[in-house]
Amino acid sequence: MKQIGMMIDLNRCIGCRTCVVACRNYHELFDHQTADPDNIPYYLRVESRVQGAFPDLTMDTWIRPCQHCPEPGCLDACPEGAIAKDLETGVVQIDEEKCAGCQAETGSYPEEKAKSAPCTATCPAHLNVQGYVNMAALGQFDEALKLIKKENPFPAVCGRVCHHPCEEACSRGEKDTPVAINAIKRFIADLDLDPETRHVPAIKAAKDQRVAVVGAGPAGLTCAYFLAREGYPVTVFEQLPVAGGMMAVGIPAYRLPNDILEAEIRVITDMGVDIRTDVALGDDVTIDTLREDGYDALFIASGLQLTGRLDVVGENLPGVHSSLDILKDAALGNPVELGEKVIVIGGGNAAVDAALTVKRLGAKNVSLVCLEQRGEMPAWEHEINDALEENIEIINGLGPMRFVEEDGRLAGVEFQRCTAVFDEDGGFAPAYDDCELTSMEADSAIVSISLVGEREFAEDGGIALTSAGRLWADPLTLQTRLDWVFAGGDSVHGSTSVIEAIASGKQAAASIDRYVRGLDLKAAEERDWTMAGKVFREQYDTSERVAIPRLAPEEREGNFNELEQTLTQDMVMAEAKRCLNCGCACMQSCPFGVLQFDGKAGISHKCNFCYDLITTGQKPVCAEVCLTDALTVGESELLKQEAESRGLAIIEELSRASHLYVK
Amino acid sequence: MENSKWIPTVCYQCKAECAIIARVEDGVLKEIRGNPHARGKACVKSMSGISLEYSPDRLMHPLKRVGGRGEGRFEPISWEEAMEIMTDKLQALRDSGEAHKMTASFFPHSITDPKWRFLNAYGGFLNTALPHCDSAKIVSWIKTTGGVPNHHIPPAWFTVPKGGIMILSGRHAFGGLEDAAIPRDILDAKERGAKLIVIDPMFTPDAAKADWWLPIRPGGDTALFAGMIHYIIANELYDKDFVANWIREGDFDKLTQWAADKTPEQMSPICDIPASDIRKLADECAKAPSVGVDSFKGIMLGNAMDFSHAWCIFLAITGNIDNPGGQPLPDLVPLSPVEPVPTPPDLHELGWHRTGPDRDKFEKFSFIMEPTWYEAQAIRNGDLKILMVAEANPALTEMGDFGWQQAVQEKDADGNYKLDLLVSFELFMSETAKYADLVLPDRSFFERWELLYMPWWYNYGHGVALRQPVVDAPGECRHANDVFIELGKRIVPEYFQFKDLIEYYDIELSGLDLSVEKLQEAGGHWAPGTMGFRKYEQRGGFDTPSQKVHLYWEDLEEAPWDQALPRVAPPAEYVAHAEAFPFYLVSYRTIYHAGSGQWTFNNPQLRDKVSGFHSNPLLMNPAAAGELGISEGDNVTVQSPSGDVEVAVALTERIRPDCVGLAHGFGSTVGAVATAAGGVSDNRLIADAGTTLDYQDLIGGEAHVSTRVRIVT
Repeated sequence: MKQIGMMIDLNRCIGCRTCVVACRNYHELFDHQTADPDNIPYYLRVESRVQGAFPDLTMDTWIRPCQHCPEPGCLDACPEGAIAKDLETGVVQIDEEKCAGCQAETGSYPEEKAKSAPCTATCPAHLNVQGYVNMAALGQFDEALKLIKKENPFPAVCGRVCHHPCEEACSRGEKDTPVAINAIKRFIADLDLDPETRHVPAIKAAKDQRVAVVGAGPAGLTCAYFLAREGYPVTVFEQLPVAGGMMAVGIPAYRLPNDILEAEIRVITDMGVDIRTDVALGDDVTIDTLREDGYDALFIASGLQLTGRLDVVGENLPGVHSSLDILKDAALGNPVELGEKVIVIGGGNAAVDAALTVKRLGAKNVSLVCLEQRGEMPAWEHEINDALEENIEIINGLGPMRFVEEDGRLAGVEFQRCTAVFDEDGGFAPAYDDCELTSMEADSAIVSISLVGEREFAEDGGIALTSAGRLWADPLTLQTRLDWVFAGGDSVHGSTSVIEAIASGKQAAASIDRYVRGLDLKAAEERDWTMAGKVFREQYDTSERVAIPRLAPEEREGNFNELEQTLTQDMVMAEAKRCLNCGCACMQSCPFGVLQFDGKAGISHKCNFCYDLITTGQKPVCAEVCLTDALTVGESELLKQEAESRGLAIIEELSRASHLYVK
Repeated sequence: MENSKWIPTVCYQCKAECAIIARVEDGVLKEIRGNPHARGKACVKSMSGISLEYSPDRLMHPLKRVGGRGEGRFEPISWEEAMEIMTDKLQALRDSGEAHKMTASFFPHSITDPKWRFLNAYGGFLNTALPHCDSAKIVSWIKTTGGVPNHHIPPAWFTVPKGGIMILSGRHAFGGLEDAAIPRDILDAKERGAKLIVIDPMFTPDAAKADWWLPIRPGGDTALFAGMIHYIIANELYDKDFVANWIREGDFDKLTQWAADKTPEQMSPICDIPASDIRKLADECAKAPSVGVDSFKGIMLGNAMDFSHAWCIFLAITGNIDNPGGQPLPDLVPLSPVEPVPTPPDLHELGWHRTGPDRDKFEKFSFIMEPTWYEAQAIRNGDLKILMVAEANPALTEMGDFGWQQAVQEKDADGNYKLDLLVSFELFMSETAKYADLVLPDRSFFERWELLYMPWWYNYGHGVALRQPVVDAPGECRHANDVFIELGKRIVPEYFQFKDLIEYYDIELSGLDLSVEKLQEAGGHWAPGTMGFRKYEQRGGFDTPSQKVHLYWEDLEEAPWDQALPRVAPPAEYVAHAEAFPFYLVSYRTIYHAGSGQWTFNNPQLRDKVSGFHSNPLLMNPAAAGELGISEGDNVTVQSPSGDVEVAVALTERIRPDCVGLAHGFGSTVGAVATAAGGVSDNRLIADAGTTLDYQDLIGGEAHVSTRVRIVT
C-alpha cells in the first residue's frame, strides 16, 4: 500500500495556527451563528514544547493532524466498520454513511461524546470497553477480541477475576444497573482458549535488543507480551515452577481455572517469549549477571511473596500458616493438613480466598476474624458475599493477641477488641481495648496480612527502595536509578489487582521500548482521560442487567469447580445492547486524540488529508496555506529520503505514524 | 463548486493589509488565501476574516443615542436623518470659524483615503486611530536620509544574502503587522545561510528560531547599539567607503567623539547584556555582508528617538542603507492629484498645539503629524468639538485608565457635552459606540472599494493594491468613505466634483495608466518592477539639505537637553518609578490579535484555544513569582502609576525575571464572544502620553508602553 504523509519541519513551524483556521474554513466545520470560543470543531491542532530555564531555552511547535496510522486503532475500534484505509493513498477515512456516532442522536452532546467513556477512563489499562461491547452487540466477537488484546493480554483471566471498576463507573448505572462489562469480556475472551479462534497479535520486524523480565506474573508477562509484539526477543525468569505469578498461585481455581491461565500464557510463549521457571533472582541470576549476559533492558516485576509478621506470641507454632502458603500449596497440589476448626485472620481478598479454599480442602468449621468492621473490610464486596454464602463465619473488630499453645502446637487464638483500625489521617494504626478478650479454639490458624517483597537482590543490585520497603521506580517511566533497569507491578506499587499489574506492565513495555531506541523517556505523553459524565439519551434499550449464572453453594462443596459461569452468546448480545454508548469508540482508541465528534451530524469526523485535493494533484489545505512553508506532502518513504538528503533529523518522539516530524 | 470563484482583494484584519484572494460560493464568503500575485501569504487573522464577516453581532442599521453617553441606549434612525445631523453640526462649526476643532480618528489606509481629503477640504485634522508607535522611526529616517517617512518598512528580508544578519530588536516579526510573508522570508533567508538575532526581554516564537537570543533589559536598546558603535569605530570596522562618500562632512568626527566613552563595559549595565556579547555582536555585524534591523517596542518609549537615531547611525556606518539585506529606501510612484487639491489647515497659525496648556514649555518641538491622539485632553481644553471615529476604538485604546470615557461625558457650565458631536462608524457595537451620538453601520473589508497606496509599506512599497467588494453588505451598511464623500458633496462640494469613489480612484490611477478596472484585470495588484538598490548613487545623493546622510542633528542641540546625538540612559519613566514599581511591563503582541477592537477580539476563531488566543494571563518568570510566593493561576493585582488590573498569573521561563508580560489589546466589554472569553486591558496600566510629557523627547518618542508595575497578592 502506498502511504502519503507529510513532513513537518520544526525549523519552520512557528505555531501560528493559520492552518487550523484554513482547514476549518475549507471543511466548513462550524456555524457562524453559534460558534463560540473553545467549542469549535477542528481537524488539526498545534502542539508545543518549551525546554530549559531562562535564559537557556528551546521551544518547538508542530501541528498534529490525523496521523493516518499504518495500523489505525480507530479502524479496529469502530463497531460499524465505518473507518477504512484507502489503498491508493493510505489515507484513513470515516464513511459518514456508516458512522453512527456510536448511537448518537443528531444534534446531541458533542462535548460529552468527545470525552472518554467512564468505563475506559476508569479502567487502569484503559481498554476500549465501549468498542468491544458494541462489537459484541453486533456479534463481531473476533474483532472484539482483537480490540481487547491491543491493550490486555489476559482478558480471559480478567473476565473472571477483575474487580471491574469500569462497571462502578458505567453511565448505565445512573439509569438502573451497569452493563455487565466483565461478563461480556469473559465471553469474548474465551475465544482465546481455542487454538482455532484465539488471537495471536502480529509481531513487528525482529529487533536486536534483548530484554529480560523477572517475574512471570501479570505485570511481567504483560510487559513481555507488548515487547514481543514490537519485535524484541524477551526472556522471562520465574522463581516458581509455574508461570502466572499470583494468577497461578494466589487466585484459587474456583475463580480462575488453570487451563484458562495456561491458554493465555501459551499465546505469549507462541509469540516467542521464552519463560524460564525455577529461576530465582538473587540466587540463580542477579542484576549483574543479566547485564553480563547482554540484556539491554531489565524489567523487575517480582511481586510480593513474603507474608509480613504479626509480632504476636506463638506466631511460629506449628498449625499457624500464611494464606499465601495455603493458596500456593492448594494451587500446586501439595498436601495441606489443617484439621476441622480453622481460623483465618485478615479482612482482605486473600483471607476470603484462604477461607473458601480450606473449606474445599475439608475444614468443617471456618471463621474469618478481622480488625475491620464489615464496611471497612478491604475485601471486595462480592468476595465477602461468596464467603457468607458458603457459611464462613465473619467476626469483625477483633485483633490477635496470642496464639495459644498446647502440646507443642496451636490450640486456639486469643483476640482483643479493636476500637479503631485507622488513625485520624486514615493511616493503618489499630487501637485495642485489652480489657475485652475473646478466646477461640482452633486446629489451625491462617494469617493473611500484607505481603512484602524480596529485597536482598535489590539491595545487592543497587536498586533503591522506598520507605515502605518496595522497589523505587519513577512513576511516569518506571525506570529505577539504574538506567537500564525498570520495575513495576506489586513489587513497586504494593498489593494491587491483576488489571493494575497489567497496566504497569504495559507502561513498562512502552518505557523500555523508548529506552532501547534512545528516546526521551520523560517525553511520554500522558493522555487526558476526562470522563464523559452525562447521559443524555432518553430512548434506549431498557432491559434489565443479565443475571450471571453461578454455582449454588451446595454445588461448591469439596470441589474447585468454577464459581461463576460464562454467559451464553444470546445473553452477551442482549447485555451488550444495554450500553448507552456515552462516548465514541474510535476517539477512545486514538493515541493522538485527533478524532472529534460532530454533534450536529451525530458522527465522528477527522482530518482526511483533504482527500479530494490530494487525489487531484493539489496540496491539502494546511500545507497550501502554511505561513512558513513548513509542510511537505509526499509518499512517506520518499519524504524520509528527502529528510536525509537535506540533513534533517527525524524526531522519533513525534514521528510515530505516517507523518515525519523533522528538525 | 460551479458557482465558486476566487476574487483578489486586500485583508484588513490588521494594519498590514496583505493582498489576499477570497473564495465566494453562491454569494457567500468561504475561504481566504494569500494573493499569489503579491507576496502570497495570509495569516491566521486573515483566515478568520470569514468569522468577522458573518458575526451575529454585526450592526446593520444607523442608531441614534437616546440616553446619556455611555448608557448604550439607542434608537434606529434613517441614513438621511443621520446625514442631516452630521451636516448641520459640521456646517455650524465651520461657519463659526472653528473647523479645526473637528477631527476624524481613523486608520489612514492610504494617502488616497477620501476621509483625509474631506478633512483637508473641511479644515479639520487627522487623528490617527492608533498611537504613533513608529513616529520615532519616521522622524529619524527623515532627519538621517531625508527620505520619505519610512513607516513600517522593515528590511526586505527576501533580499538578505548568505551570511547576512537579521536583527529583530523588540520586534515580533512572526506576529505579523508587516506582511504575512515575513516569517517565510526570514526563514528562507536563514536557510540560505543568513543569521537571525533576536533582542527581546521575552523568548518569542522569533527567538525560538533565532541563532542567538539576547534577553535585553527593556529600554536598553540605545545603550546596546551605542556600545556596538563604539566597538566598530574603535576597531575601524566601519564601512570606510560609505562613511567617506555618503556621510556629511564632520558628522563622523562628532560621532567618534560621542562614542569614545560608550564602551561595551559602560553600556552593559544599562542593557544587561554582557560587554563580551556586545563586542561579539558588533564584530559579527561589521563583518557580515549585510545587516537589517527591525524594531517596534524599542521605538515606543519616551526616548524612542534616541534609539531610532542610534539605529540609523549603526546602519549608516556599517554601510547598510538601501543595500540588499539592509534598510531599503522606498521609491515613490506618484499618483495623479484629484483637482482641486485641498490644503490642510495650518494648525500653528490657528493657535493650536497638541500639548495644549503645556504649549509654552514644549512649543519648540514639532511632530511629524502635528496633531496626535490626546483626545481626552483636547476635549477638556475646548479644542475638540466634533469627533468622528472609524475603525478605531478610543474608548478602550486611549491610555490612562479610561480618561477618554470620562472626557466625552464632561459637560460645560450650560450642561452641554463639551464634545458637541461624537460619531462612530462600526461593524459591531463597541466601547466607543456606547458613548457615540450616532452609531453608523460600516462595511467590512469584504464589502467595499478601497485603493491602497502606502508607498512606505512592506506590501505596497512599490505598487498599489485594490480592495473590492467580494460579497454584498448586510442590512443598511455603508462604508465610512462613501459617507465622508457625501458629507463633502454637501459641505465642500467644490472638492467633491467626482461622481463616486470609483471615479475618484480612476483619476488618481490615471497617471500610472491604470484604472480600477485595469487593476481588477491585473489580479488586484500592480507593481512597477524590482525595488532597486543604492538608488542614492544614481540620484547623486540623498534628499537631505547636504545630500548626504546626517548623523548629527544640530537642530536638537539646544533643547531642554542636548539630543543632537543619542542619549544612552534608560527611559526617564523607567528610572522615575524604579523603586515603587519593580517590574517592567512588557505589553506584548501575538499573531492572533491586532489593536484593541472587536475585529479580532470578538472573533470566535481568534479567541478559541485551538486556533487563537483566548485570554491574557500575566506572564511571570517562576523565579520572580517564587520570591513573591505567587503560584501558577494565582490572581494578583497589577498596579502601575496610573491604574491597576486584576489578572491570573501564568508562569513561564520565557520572560526575564524583572519583567511581567501582558498581551496587548484585551479587555473588550462588548460583543458576545469578546465578553465571554475575558481578558484584561493593558491600556489601563499605561499612562496617557499627554500626562507624561516630561518623559518624552516630544519629537518622535511617546512614553506609551514604558510602564513599570508592581504585583500585589
